[in-house]
Amino acid sequence: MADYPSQLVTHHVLSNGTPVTIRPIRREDSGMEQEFVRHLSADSRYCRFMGTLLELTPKKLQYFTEIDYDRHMAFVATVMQEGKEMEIGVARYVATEKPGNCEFAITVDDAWQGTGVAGLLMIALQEAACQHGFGTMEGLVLASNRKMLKFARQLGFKTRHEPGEGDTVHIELQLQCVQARPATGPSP
Amino acid sequence: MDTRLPLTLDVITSAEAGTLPGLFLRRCERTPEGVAYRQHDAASGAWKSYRWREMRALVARWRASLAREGLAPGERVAVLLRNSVEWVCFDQAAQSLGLVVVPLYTTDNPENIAYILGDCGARLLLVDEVDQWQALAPLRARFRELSRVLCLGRPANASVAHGAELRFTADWLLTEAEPVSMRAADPNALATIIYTSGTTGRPKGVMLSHRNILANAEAVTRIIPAYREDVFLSFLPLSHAFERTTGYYLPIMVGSCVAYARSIQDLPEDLLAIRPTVLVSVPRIYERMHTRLQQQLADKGPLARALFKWAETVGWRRFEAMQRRAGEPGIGARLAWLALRRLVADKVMSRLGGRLRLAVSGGAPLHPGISHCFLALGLSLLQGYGLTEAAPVVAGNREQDNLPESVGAALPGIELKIGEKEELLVKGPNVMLGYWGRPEDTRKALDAEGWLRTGDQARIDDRGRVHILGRLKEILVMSTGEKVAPNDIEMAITQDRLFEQAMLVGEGKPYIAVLLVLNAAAWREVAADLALDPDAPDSLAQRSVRRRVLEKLHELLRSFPGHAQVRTAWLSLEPWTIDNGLITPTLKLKRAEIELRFAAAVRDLYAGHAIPA
Repeated sequence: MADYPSQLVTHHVLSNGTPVTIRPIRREDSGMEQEFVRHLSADSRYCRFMGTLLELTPKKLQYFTEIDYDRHMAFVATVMQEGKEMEIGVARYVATEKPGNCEFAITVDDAWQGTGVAGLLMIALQEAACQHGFGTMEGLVLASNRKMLKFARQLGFKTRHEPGEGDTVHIELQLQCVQARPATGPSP
Repeated sequence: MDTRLPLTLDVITSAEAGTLPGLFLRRCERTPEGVAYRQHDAASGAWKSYRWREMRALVARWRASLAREGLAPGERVAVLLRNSVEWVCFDQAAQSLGLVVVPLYTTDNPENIAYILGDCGARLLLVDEVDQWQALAPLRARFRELSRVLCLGRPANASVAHGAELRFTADWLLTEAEPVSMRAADPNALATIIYTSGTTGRPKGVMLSHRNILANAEAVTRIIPAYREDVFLSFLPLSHAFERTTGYYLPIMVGSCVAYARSIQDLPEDLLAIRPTVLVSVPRIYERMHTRLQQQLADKGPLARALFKWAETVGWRRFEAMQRRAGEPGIGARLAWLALRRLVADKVMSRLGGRLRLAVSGGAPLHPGISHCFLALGLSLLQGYGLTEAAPVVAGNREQDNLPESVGAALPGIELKIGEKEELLVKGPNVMLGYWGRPEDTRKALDAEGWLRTGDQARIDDRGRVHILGRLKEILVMSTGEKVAPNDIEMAITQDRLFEQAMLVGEGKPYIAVLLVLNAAAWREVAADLALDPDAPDSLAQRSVRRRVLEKLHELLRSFPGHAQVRTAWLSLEPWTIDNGLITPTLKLKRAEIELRFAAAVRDLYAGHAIPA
């Protein structure tokens, strides 16, 4: 497995005053990730997977937590609750078949939506995508998920809803990677 | 069309009526000789008319009979009948005694009906046939407060076993009764509880007062006037708030006649027999009419089809000009319309009875291709918007301002605003009292200032017209106007290990269908059980397999309402994966792609229910 990119760990404070850590996911997070998915509201889970699941199968969990930090990257946002690290959001990209393209997905726990955590996750994710040579980030959003569509538009994503595409909207962003900035936050 | 009849506007205002039974009595006093209802009598094969005077006497008999049951005002009584004069009699009689009427869908499943009877604590139930009660009886423990079941029809077999609680109306209904007189009653009292499927979990009972419904009916008459000479053809179930308010109480308010269609299948014939002037319906019915029209055209020659196309084009331009959205058509186009109207439009309208002046559509979005076609042919088809919680109409197009892409502007007396996440909020005298026994849900739906959350996202244009953009929650809206949350149903289905992946389809369709990927191991067990070769390509298509799957689905969806039942399924053993492009690399189901890839299968699931492109 690839080395853990600990230089990408950053610390921030959310709009509600809570300190939050944004860091790449790792194998040991599988329990926390499963807990996160289980804890999502049924609507949020549906928006994320566009289908039904109560929890991740062991295979999916492994796919989500044992990643190569290059073709597949994921950041989790965590807060400390009663002395325990708790996941409140996750964003990931995975390379698609099209060279230079990656598909992204982001989910924030229902109780933590609107705290600015999604923005922090997306900044980290887009920087990582740039550094790994991706030029285009795309995503699939349920047409009813207007919150996500609004967020994506704020980030500069172009939306495309083709007739016959039914209830999903395709979104796409050309990453501005001209000057790769060094990762923010403390150095290892 | 002979629409040039003199029209008499005679509205009993909500203030004059006070309550729903008050409205009925005032109408009976005002126009006793007018024809109130028409109903087909199967025995004689003829349509029977009921005057307001006769209705008043009938309601009095029902009232006196019901009074003997000893129920207290505020207690609930349920009605599980097809639309009929008896429905009206029961509703009016019960309400005049202060009882709260709970309508049930005759198409609903026993599980759901039992749940509603239990939830509202119904004391009495009226059914059409003994069979309906026999399907409910095994679930008796779930609705303990019920003490009387009334049955309209006699059983074919007199020896059918039944308890003391079951009575037949033929024996139960008194033959004589004193005419009912007006009584002062509270307009804000609870009149009815209408259960809505909602989208998650169990159905919720929407509590509507007399004032809620009267205010709404009156507001509708102010944007879409109806007259004493009007004849409504009723076929949307009276258990639906839209039909209840606009197809039942509104005609009483304006003194129109309502005819009860025999069935959807008989609709073409009933249209010719009744020759209605007003239709109130959900898009499904207009789709059916449109499909029938297309089939008839397909049977004709290319000339007829070309003429039809031409009439649609010219007629649409004419409609747009009348709406002042396009310039006046030139002399050529006007002359062409004169000919086309006779050759095409009048023929279509004559199939609808020949004197239809107004058709209203609500409950689900009407396909633009269908509204354009009817509008072009000269039928005034108006789309509106509403929800049970708003008793139910919120907005509607007007004849002189009809933009089919919109659902029209708010009714008079109703305020609208756009809330968070573009959600449409509604305030007015029509907004419900709350959900029966669910203060928490009521608080979520109604804020302290009385704004009702609709769950629909909308935009209001500069002329006040509402454009529905989408829904806050992922929902499929069927062409019948009923809604289901695919999330809940897919979740229930995939609880069973046979169903590895499931995707529901049915947006704009008359019923729900599902695409299913079977679990390979579980499939082998099923195949062995049915003595089929699990690896044979045609095994999945076997009738026995389909039956088994539908049985299982039925079992899994037992607690869902009737309209949320999956009617048909497409089966596959090939999982949807990243490799075959049906799941994205971040593991999202590509719903649109799945629908596209299996479009032929989906078409087969809806064979015979085509909608224009």
